[in-house]
Amino acid sequence: MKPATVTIAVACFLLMFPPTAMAEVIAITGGKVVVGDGTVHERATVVIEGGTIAAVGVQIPIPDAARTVDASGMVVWPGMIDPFTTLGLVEVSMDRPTNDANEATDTSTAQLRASDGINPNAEPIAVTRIGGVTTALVSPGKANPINGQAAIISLAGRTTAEMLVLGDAALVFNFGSRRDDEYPSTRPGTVAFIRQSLYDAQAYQERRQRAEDNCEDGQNWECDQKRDLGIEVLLRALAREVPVIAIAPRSQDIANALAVAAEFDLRLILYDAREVWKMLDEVATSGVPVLLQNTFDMPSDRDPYDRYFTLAHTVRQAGIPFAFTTGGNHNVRNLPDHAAMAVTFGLPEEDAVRALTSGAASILGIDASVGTLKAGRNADVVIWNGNPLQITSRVQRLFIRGREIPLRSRQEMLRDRYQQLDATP
Amino acid sequence: MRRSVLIATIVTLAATHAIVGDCGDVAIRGGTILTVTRGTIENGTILISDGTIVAVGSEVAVPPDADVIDATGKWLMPGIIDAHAHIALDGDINEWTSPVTPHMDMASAVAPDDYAIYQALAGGVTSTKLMHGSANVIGGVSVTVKLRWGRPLSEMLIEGARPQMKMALGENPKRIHGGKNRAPATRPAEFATIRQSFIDAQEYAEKWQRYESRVADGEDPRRPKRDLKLEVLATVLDGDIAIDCHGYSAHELVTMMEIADEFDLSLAAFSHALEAYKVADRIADHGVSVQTHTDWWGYKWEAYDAIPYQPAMLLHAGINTTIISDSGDVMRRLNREAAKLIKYGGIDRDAALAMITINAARALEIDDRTGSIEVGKDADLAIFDRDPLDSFSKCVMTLIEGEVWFDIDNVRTALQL
Repeated sequence: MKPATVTIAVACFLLMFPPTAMAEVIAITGGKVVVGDGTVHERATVVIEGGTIAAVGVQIPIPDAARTVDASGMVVWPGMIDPFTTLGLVEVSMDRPTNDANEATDTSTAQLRASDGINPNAEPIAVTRIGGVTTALVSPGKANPINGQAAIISLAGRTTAEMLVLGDAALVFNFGSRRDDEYPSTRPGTVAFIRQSLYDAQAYQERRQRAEDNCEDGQNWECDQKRDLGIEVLLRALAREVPVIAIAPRSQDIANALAVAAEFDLRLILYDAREVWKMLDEVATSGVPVLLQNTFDMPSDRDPYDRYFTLAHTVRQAGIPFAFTTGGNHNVRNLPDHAAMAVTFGLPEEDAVRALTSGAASILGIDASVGTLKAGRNADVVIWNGNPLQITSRVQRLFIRGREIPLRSRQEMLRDRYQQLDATP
Repeated sequence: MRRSVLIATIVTLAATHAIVGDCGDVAIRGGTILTVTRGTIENGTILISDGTIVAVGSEVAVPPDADVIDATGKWLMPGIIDAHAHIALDGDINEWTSPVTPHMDMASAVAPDDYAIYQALAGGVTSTKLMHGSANVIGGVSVTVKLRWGRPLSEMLIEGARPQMKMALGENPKRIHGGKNRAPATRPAEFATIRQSFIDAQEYAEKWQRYESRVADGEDPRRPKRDLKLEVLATVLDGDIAIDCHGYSAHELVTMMEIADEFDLSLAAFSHALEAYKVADRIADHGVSVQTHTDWWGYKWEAYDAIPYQPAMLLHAGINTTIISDSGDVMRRLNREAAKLIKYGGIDRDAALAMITINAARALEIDDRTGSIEVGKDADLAIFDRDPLDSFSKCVMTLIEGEVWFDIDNVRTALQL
């Protein structure tokens, strides 16, 4: 790297994370603190220390060393969580060289790890976080019946490793995917392919076990067992170490996903299950949570116009755990609008708030670190000038893992640049 | 349950859409009226006669025989106008077999029973323009309609609205045609194709003029062959068809304005135009409307520099700016798009609402009859249960020329049309 490039890179880094902010003690005072679990504290204080939340409450002492941030009249929320995105994998969707989602070259790409492709400097990450979404699950895509391993990242950092909340967060299956000219080109094919893959994984495990038991100092044929990366990932799902996110758009896809999960005792999460309203009892009984990407789907000719606007409320009434997701990349920042639309069509606001924060965290198994403003959690704290569910509300200050993040992305830089051009003809 | 409580006040309305305004006057009373062009009236009344607004204000006398809609606690705004849509075309959006297809008349594709029309009505939309897609540099002629769902196209058409030719620049025509190894595969070829097409149309028009003047002189010249494509383009040259040009990059917008000058084209609007903010002064000077999006970006290279602050910046530059859907989904929630402009540009409420009403009407040249709540205009109205810029608001009733076309107390599916 040329010296000048290094200097610019370092300068950018310092701009984003001033060294003084690293282990800062910060007290955010006077705001309406929405914890994320249903609790709300009026005129409360949030104390941040060493990147985590040290204390939250109305009558809590402010440490002497603290930098005080006045949030009077403001609303303090946990950073929101989008549980299904391609953030970091895609810069420009239609430009293949900058798009690392969807390795559509094989039926199973279980061996892929989204975390290996995440670009921490992808502009959509900066655009997303200044909209108040601070944690995202990143899927390697959804093109194949078996797609690979999703990662959960915190949306600020210099390397993917330092952003990781959970490296192997889920394995992504797509029960609705079909290939054009080769097997599997039908739903029965896709289901059979997934089941056979899981059988193969079980057989592989037995073979490995036998090899381990019978291999005599590397001398006999039993020792000659090749390792298969993809199959070993499936084994982690079979051992319930990793959940399976199943993309299941149609009701039969949902039924297929539930059946396969039951057969192999998988930890299942449904995504894009837009016809879940036809399967409420089955899904509720299974206890499987749903990631709702469908608020803005358009209903079919025989459905009422508000079918998907009311979907979250319908799912909530059935007692199914749920979270909202954009399933997106560039406009993950619109996540709260999905929830607001659901509130408009019946979902209690408190349930919407929970779904955007602690609900999403608990479905993903990361509620010990994110999703609520509670002592011990990562200090992902967002100060808003109003209710974040109102589109007109703006983020005023942003802290991710205790570091204050400037509210700027390339979009604000472009705005300022061309506003200045206007001012100086 | 919540719905019935909210709407309990609007009980005078019957099952079908045509019950009010048929025989006599209609008064909508008690709501907050967002006129968009003339401020806000609390607890106001709108009096409608024969589909036209005849009085608006807080002290309007209601004739004793008028049908009354009680809108107490509700918010009334002009029917939303979407200047750029591809719904209800039954999939016939792009005649991509050639880059120049001006003779495509989108009226031939319209499916008036498309459920997307009803869903747009349920979002408060009353007028739109149904357009050819962006596959071709010169696409086809749009139709400007009111959303009378299920009625024949002849009843949907807005009389007197000047037709618009859809043109398209940049990546889409390059990808569609270049991808088939034919021109245009580059922007220079796009512009060369456009210029050659208009030159051909000029020559065609001159040929006919010569023919007609010789006939007028009593000669018997050979009649030129009629060419539908060139005939339509000649109409564009005459200015009887305006142009709505899809484009993204600042430089292609500038080049298109130069071509408009070269051929004296009536360039009414740029659609999308996500880099318009970079050349806002040029566009303002040229008087072109910009029909854009709030926060779409990054889906292709020419959308990479898009910023959500653009609509506010264009407004400040003096450009007639409107937010379009380009999508059956977004069309249902344009009021929420308008709310984003307050977030991203800090523009005032009326300016935000204008972006989805009167500014769109201006871009479509139908602002003499719709786009705001004013005496003399069509009674195209959207009634919301709360402030339409509030994210928890929903449309409860939509009227076109005084007739109810959406009523949340009587929702229908496409099967019940």
